[in-house]
Amino acid sequence: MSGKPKNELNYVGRPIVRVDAADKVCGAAKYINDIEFPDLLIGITIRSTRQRARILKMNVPMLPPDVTFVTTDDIPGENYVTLFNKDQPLLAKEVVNYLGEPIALLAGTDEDALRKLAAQIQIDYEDLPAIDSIEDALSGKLPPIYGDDNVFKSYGYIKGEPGNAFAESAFIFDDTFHTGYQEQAYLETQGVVAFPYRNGVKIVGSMQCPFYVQKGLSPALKLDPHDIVVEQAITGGAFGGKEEFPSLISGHAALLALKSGKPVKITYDRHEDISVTTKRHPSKSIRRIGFDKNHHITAMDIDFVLNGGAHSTLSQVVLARGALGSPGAYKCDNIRMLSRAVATNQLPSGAFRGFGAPQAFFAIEAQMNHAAYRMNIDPYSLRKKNILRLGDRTATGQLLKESVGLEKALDAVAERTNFTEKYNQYRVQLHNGQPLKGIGLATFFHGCGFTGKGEELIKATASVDYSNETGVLIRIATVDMGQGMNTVMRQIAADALALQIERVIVNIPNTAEVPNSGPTVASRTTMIVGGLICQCCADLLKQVGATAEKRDFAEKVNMSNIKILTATRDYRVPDDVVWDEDKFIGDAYPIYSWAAAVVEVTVDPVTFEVTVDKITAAHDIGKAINPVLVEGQIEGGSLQGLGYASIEVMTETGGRLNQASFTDYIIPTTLDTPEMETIILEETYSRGPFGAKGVGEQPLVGIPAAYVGAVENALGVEFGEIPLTPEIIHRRVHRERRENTNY
Amino acid sequence: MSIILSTEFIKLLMTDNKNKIKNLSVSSEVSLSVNGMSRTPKASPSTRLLDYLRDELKLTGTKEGCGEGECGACMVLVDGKAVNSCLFLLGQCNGREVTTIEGIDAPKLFKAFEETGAVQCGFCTPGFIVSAYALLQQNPHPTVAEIKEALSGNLCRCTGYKKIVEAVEKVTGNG
Ligand code: FES
Ligand code: FES
Repeated sequence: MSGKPKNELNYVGRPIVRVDAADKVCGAAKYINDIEFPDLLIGITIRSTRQRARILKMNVPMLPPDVTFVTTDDIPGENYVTLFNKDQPLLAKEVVNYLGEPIALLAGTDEDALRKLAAQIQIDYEDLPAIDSIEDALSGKLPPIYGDDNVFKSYGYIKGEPGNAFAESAFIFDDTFHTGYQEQAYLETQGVVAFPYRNGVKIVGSMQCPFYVQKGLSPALKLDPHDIVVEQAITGGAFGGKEEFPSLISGHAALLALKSGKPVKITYDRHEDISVTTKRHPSKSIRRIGFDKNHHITAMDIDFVLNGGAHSTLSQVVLARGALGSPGAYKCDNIRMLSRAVATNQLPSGAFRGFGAPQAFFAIEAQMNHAAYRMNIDPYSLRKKNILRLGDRTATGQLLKESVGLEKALDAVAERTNFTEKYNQYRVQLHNGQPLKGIGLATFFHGCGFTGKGEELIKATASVDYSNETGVLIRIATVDMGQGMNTVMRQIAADALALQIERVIVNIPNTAEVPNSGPTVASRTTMIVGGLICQCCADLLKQVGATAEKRDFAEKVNMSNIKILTATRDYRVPDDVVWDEDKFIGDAYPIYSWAAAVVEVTVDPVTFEVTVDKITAAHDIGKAINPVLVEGQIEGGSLQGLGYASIEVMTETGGRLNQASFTDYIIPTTLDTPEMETIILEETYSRGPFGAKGVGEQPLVGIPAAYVGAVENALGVEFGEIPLTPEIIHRRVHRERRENTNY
Repeated sequence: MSIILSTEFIKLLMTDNKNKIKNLSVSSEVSLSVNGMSRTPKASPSTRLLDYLRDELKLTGTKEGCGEGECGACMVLVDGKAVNSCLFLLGQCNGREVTTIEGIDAPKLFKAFEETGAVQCGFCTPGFIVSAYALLQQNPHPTVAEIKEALSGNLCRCTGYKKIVEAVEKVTGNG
């Protein structure tokens, strides 16, 4: 497969300036809302005002002739958006299952006039008892939303003999952890344009996965997939929020376009975007962990539940990643694990950078920090005794054969921050009204690529074309949503063929022009798709008998009589990567990235306001194809993790979000941003392109536990939830003081 | 960060609602300069400056990220001061000079953003450039704290801000 070519590298490993930067800085880059379409109509969505109800009647006033109105009656095919299950309707018909669920659509030329019309459409409902929490969902007392038990998916296993292992443990700790919603808060809100095109429809929009949209809408629009042409427009951030959601909004625009015969644009303003799009799954973890007298983990008992909201969306795969992360980056032979994603009458939860891992790692890492405190050992030393190393087996029995940089990462951040010394010192600092210092640690991993059988199902395909006249054309469906994919792919191809990078371009992700290289998710792009590009390039060299070392590709093409060369490769899961999804045993991912992070804080002892002084993060991601882009992923991801842990509060009351604007939902600004130090470790992966693994999601994953650990270290009080706000700290500290007068 | 707001407009914002803002008339005839060109808008004076720039002049480098003064993606200069054009009405611009990202001539700043890695998805970038430009015009040698303060009205979800602040620092280093 794609090992390390021996030629000199001119681009890989260097901070090549991203191709799209120049257009973006001067405002020339065209996002979907900046593109002009002739005769464009605006589409708006009429939504449920009830959390769970039967729709009795829709009273529609006389509509002007130039207004297009769409209900479920206008759906040519089956009324669902294809994903794993067929439970999410394009438009609700008989029942609504969440507040804001789409029911009907309007299109016209004047948005204000449409909004007035929408306000005149009255829907009569009969309310049904709503399931409003994880506890409700599992109580069995309310009619289920999904299946008979209201569980979208569950995974569980027993490994070893947890019962006996706990019985023999020197220490046993029980903890419960909660995590809240998190909003992706991409700066560009959702937006698509659809218009009638050839035998079907064309959709252009802000998205991560053009082929998801195509496949997702084919049954509903009753069109062959190839009659639905989907093209990504420059995308203003996504973070998972534009993974599955664009299929729904694209479907709406397509229905309006097909009925009106005109281009229709649907864009959400910030309020609508926050109110109705998917969020990170809230979670609850009930955990028990045992240690022997030498502080080695003996057993874990894990009950992990995700609130999936009203429809199944991607919950099952989010859950799988969470379940796999739940035992953390530790050796443990005795585990009982149960994980469930449940249905509630709340917004459908969905993809968000980390994909179940942030919730799971918060729980295990916070529990490890608590355990360290209670056993009177520092969190670094506790991890040193328990982390996974080369030759160890993961919780699912996967043998770690190569590229395990976890211990290096742990040592790097601990040394860099003087972790143990500070931790022990802060632990006994005087509480005399002066600001309190704290330091916290987390170790974590991220499986690169899809979980389990995912890559096998997708069968990613990539092509590279070449002619001496046009240069290299990379054809993949992978999108640049800000992470810099276009630049990384050009670097890989230029070095693999030993050509100038200016000779390489990446095709626009358009389903009629590129093969399906899979969705742009799961930290899979560089490793999987970049790997395919590398292989395609090797094939091209071979076709004309050239080598990268001799740098003779163009010359050899000239000498041959082939004018246009092309190479195509499909991803094959290596034969020695074996995963049993039912038993949850085996190689969950082909390889892992590894990381450790330290967060340092100062806490005001009166207001409990927390100032984050510094984040130090070390990430083993294999070869860093573009170190500046990698740092960008680590810095941006770390700050999202910090927001998730601290200030990004999102709550709901009766299915309605209490924070549906940037005024109420607070994300970090420059003033909330601590100093950040990034350490990149390159434990190369033999099957990755030039040794690369994945980086996109991992940076966010461990920050929350490190942050909470730092606050705990400052105050000497334990916490079990994020976001950890000053109010929560205040309540907890005062309760602690009441309970323990010695404090 | 200097954001100019009329008290009348703030009151309106408190009572919310785009429609009311649209119907408010501020001054019946407006003429202004945009990127050095004199303009007499067709749009009503109660149009948001943001909409006038994007819809009538097709200056789409100015973005809408929130429409409520929180994100800075719509930042433009009015008489040299950085303002959120989503909170500013066309009528308030009578006789004033508006500069959008398209009218900003700051090659060093652009280059610093590109080379430092301050750009990811880029949706926030024009707004940051405008804010940074306004700062550097006023204060060519800002400290890091001053840079952070000046950029605190701009949200970026991608970068973690570090490289954005570094990019501005680089330009100040160049004098
Ligand atoms: S769009 Fe004006 S501040 Fe966000
Ligand atoms: S670069 Fe994406 S929001 Fe700043």
